[in-house]
Amino acid sequence: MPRLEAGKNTRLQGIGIDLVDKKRIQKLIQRHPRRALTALFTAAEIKKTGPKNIRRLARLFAAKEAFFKAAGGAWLGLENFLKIEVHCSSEDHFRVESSKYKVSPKDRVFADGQFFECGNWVGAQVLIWGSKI
Amino acid sequence: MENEIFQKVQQILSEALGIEKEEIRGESSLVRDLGAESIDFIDIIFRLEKAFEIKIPSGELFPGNLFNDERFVKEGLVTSAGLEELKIRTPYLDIQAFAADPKVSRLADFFTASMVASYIQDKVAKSAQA
Repeated sequence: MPRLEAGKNTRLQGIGIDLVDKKRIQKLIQRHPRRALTALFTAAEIKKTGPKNIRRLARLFAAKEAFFKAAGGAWLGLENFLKIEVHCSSEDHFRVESSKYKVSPKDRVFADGQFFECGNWVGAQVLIWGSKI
Repeated sequence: MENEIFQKVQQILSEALGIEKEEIRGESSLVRDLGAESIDFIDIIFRLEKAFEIKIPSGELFPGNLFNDERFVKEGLVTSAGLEELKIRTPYLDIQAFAADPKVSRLADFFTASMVASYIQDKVAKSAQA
């Protein structure tokens, strides 16, 4: 499906950024292996990433947190983690889709992001943009 | 029982946040005083579930889903309908204090150790009755 082209008919709806320590994600998953994976990541995300790839899981976590911030809300509940899905389009880029937040090609609203890393820290930034109302 | 639960909650918060147990008082705000971040909230929820053998449904202890509803939030502020809804969904929260400046971004400041203990106490009592 063709994406919107940035320009006069599009509008930036939000920007979010997040940073997480890989060791913290590792500890969380080690302490609560099944619960943490199934509460934070969708089945498709776990299948693509693998349940033991801490670096990639930390990146997904950061992407979701960045998305929440871009969507205008601080994280206040676990439930929203499964209501969005991160799709990696290349090693460093991803897009997020969510029917709950109405971010999908069908809604003509897109969330694109980029990962970055420094030592034990992994981060993600997300832009949400769509056609003007 | 009440004191026992609070002590257990204190222990869980201490381990999850890497803070001395004695530093955690009932009125301690998890975010403002104890430095909790979102990943800590997740860890705390899982630890509480394990320690008290309960299931904490999404949005019950730390309300989040409420704020995706346009009736309850307007321009970053919780509306009066939102405050009423908060009272129903999270009776353990000090809504009166929050209502003075009901910015969504401030809500997490009102999550305190005693709020968590009150929630757990209620939850444990209900599961004992069931």
